[in-house]
Amino acid sequence: MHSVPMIPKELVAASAEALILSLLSKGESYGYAIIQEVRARSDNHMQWTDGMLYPVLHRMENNGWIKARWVKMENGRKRKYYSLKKDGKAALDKQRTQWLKVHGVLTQLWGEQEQYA
Amino acid sequence: MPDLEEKIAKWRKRMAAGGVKPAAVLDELEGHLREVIQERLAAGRSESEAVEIAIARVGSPGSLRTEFNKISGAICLPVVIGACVWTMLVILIAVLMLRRVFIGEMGTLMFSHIVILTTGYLAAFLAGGFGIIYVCWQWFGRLSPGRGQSLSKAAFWFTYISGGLVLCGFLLGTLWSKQHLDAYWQDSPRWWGCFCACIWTVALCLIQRFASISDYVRMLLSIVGNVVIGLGWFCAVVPHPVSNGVMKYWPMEVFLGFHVLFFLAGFSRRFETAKLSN
Repeated sequence: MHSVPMIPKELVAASAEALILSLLSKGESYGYAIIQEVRARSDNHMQWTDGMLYPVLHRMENNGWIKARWVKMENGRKRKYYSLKKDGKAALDKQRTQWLKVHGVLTQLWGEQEQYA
Repeated sequence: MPDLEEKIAKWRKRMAAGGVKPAAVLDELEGHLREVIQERLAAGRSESEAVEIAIARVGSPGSLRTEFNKISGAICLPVVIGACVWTMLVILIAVLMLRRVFIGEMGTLMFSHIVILTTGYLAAFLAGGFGIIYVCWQWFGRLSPGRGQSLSKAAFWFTYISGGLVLCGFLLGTLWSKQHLDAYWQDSPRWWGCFCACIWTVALCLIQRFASISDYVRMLLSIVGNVVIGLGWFCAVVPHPVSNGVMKYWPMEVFLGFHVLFFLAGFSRRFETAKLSN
């Protein structure tokens, strides 16, 4: 069994919106926690420069997909939590359909390759 | 850990110098930086190593600035509408006044004074209008980073425009006064009002230029600017024997109350944010 190579940053960037929307559909979260969860779920194969998550979050906030609120933590510091808005749920449905389509095409093609191999 | 705080403060300064300036963005990135530092310290790294790793993970100011600039380039609708309305009013005022110049009712100096001063006042009102929209959007949770930056940038430029125009208009007024009334200064509410508006707009330009003020402070100052310009322009509360102290164009109480309300709404929101960040 060969090891899974690191997923290139271009692919991570392309899937960033879908990943964030999917994670936020499970409940509100904040930047660091989002990155940690993506890392954990991908067995550390999906990595990005952490800071690059924030322009994506802010763009999604501008699009009206997500909303943010500052929450005061026990240590006195504040943390910005993001949650999904109604338009975000619609965007997630759209992206899910698109990604499933890509997944379906690739699965089909690789199935055919295995058949003729 | 005073050393750690010093390192974080230095990192924050480097980010701001590199073009990542909005305080809210820096606060959020700093929060992330601190989380990574704690994570690395818990994993047994030294403080210096933890900070180094965290800084690398957050990324360089250049690359972050590039990404943030991609989303802050959009101009929000109120800014587009405000700028269009202001331009149309400038043209309308110029055309109406020009007509009076052509029929001999007004000289070119007075024409320049009125048009430049009025458009300067309107620019200041527009900046204040952006401040009010900013406060309303923030109050109702509709202020996204892009909208905030767009409004702040527009208020920034219209503050400079108003400062330049009001100063020029005021100076042209003094020249007209010297030519026609034999003195650069006339002791009347209108003159005092214009003088106060001029001082305010120029001071605001200087504050913007030399003091590092946040978007929020800029917007609140723009709202205060509306009150100053309103009082200066309409001279409603300047007591003077010549005009009997009142030149009311509209109920100033409503105008003042309206602006005090928005200022307090914005200020209380600011206070709330400040409490969170302490």
